[in-house]
Amino acid sequence: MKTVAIYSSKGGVGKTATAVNIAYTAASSGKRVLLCDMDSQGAASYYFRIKAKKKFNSQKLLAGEYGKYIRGTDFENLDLLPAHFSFRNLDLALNSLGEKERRMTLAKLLKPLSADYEILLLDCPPNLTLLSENIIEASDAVVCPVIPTTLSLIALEQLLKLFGKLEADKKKILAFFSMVERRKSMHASVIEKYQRYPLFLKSAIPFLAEIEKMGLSRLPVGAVTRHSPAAMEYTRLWNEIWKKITKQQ
Amino acid sequence: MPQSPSAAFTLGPDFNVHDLPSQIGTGYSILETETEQRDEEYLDTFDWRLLACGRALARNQRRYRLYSTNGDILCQDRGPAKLRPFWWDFSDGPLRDELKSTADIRALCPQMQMQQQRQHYNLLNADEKIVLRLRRDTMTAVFPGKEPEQFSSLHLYGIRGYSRPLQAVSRIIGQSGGLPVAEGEIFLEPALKAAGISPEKMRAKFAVSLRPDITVFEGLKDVGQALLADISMHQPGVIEDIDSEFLHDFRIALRRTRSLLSLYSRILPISACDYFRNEFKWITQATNTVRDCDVYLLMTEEYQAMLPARLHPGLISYFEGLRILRKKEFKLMRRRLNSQRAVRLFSDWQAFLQEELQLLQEPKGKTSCRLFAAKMLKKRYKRILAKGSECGPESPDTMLHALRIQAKKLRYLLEFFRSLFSVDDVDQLIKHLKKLQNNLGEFNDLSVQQTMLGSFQSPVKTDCVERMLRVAAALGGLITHLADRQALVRGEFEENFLQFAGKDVQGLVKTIIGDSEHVSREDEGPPAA
Repeated sequence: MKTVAIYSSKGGVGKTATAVNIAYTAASSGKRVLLCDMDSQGAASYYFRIKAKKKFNSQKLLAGEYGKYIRGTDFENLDLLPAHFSFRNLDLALNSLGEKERRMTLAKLLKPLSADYEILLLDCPPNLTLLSENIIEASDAVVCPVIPTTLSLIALEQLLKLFGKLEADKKKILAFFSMVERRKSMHASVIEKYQRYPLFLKSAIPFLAEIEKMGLSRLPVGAVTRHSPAAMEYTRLWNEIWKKITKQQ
Repeated sequence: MPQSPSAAFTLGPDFNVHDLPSQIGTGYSILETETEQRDEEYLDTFDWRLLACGRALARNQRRYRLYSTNGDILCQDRGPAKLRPFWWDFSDGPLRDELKSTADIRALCPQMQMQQQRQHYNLLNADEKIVLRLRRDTMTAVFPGKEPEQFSSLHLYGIRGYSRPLQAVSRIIGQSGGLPVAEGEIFLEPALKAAGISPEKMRAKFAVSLRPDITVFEGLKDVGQALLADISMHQPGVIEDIDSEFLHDFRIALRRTRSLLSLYSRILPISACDYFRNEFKWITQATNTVRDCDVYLLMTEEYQAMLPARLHPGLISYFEGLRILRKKEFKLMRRRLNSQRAVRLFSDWQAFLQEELQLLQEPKGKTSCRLFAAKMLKKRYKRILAKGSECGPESPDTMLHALRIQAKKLRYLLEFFRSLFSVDDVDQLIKHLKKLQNNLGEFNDLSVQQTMLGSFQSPVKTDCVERMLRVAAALGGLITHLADRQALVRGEFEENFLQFAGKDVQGLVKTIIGDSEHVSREDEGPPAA
């Protein structure tokens, strides 16, 4: 099982749209995929029209009793562990654990899923906390959407710093430009400057109305129109991510 | 929907899927997503081998589909236009592989025509999320010579984390008279049941259920009629030359009948017994050459594997000749099977069993069949022990062949009268006997094959010397290979026989015979070795 986190400490960079669409693309290719909605806002769960069961909460998650709360999406091979409002307190719960175990908690928790799934996608909340450290430890790749703007680049710098602090392998970071508007000169110049760094993937996701409309359709873009431009871009992105992950082996 | 359904039900004709949402609760709705119409002819072997493996093969013109137990398509391909194709008539691919492993050497015969409407639905909750998938199949099956039968089924495909809608729908269907489909039951089952077709019966081994208190003549009647039914069942397939198994099974039923007559030879009036024995011998012999040809033709691949590739052309020529010979012999055999003499034999035998037998005044015929069977069992077992103990490493092959025939006689006897004794004990004895028979049977087959190949009896054109030499080289190679194998099999005989003659099997025979032990001494065979 490969664990892929979609992460950025900055909000509004397209993390959830990325997680939902690449989960759909990966599942369509025949891989068994579980998308874990770690963000208490539950946007990924909303896109799949899934609500968490009332009895589910962060305590159950940390106790490893989450299996029965996983739900099937409308798409073959794709399941979802829905977010719960109590996930906003995951950091507090992790903090209460012993120093040695708290950073590896998530990795240990997710391990049993390898029996049922080939790909585990984590849609992460925008913060820089103990949960972020857990996510980095648990993942084979940390996919980081970057809007070609200064603030977004700062968020990427922070992630690199965190990797340094944790002595984690920086090759795990797979950044890509998200919500790109080529007509904006700033976007064009940032991309030109940074795209050549090996940290960045070649694929980029443009700013497209059909991605924005996901909130209305509550469907991955590929499920609305299989070969739409947005669907094709996400397929390209996922193929590149998958190639990198399997090459790292 | 590649996954297996969570539940399946047969439905009454009034069931309406669109009524479900309001019965489950508020906020639910149903959406029809897809409808498929199929009009297909279903094929299976005569003995329903595909069905036994949970498979159903259907075709529409030359488009073939292989279905799983629950009606999902496992594989599909274009296939032959032949009425009754074999697996080797299909081109390479998963369909051919599946058919090879399930149908083996049997022809795939049209069994029924079915019109199928398949409707797919999604059950949605208030968020318009799919919480259950449903598939309704409405089928109209037409079996040759029978009225069309219509039936309907609903397959439910649960979604992880949404068990309640699945439970609710299952409950509602149950309340409206729907019946759950048993696990592993193939989707064609209701159609087969409605048409009174029992595939299990077609596959079952020969078995007659006899009342424990029946007389010797009643036993003959019941067993004889069961065998005659077997003969009649396979004869049309033999005459139509559907596949080689028809002739094989037809001959087994004939051999069993001859063995039954031999068993009763001292009880039945000589004239009647001789007439039937001679005529059944005649009709069996009429099928010998065709069966021999079948056996060798079925071994094409095996023979090829025994020889180096450079000898294959000779072997191919030999098989070509064999096919021509079979064609000629088949016409002869068919003429005999359709002859007045054959028709008369079967109707005479039927009349004899049905009517004449009860008019016979023979006192032995009115005695207990169980005692008679026990006496014959003891006699035949002892005869095997006597004949087997005479066979040493240097004994001629003919002695082993004679022993093989005795073993076969015992086997038939056990199969005829199995239900009169402890079935478990008889089955246990058959298991031991089968081991010995396998050894003797293989020895005999190898011997017959060498003789047949050595006699070179195939209409290969003898005017082409080069071709003749090629064939001779191939056959020579085969004979050497077969002789080596025969020597090995011969070496295994002693151990097999000692096991069958051992205390365990002797004790088993005694247990089976049990209180039927007071068998008159004069009828017993030579003492055990």
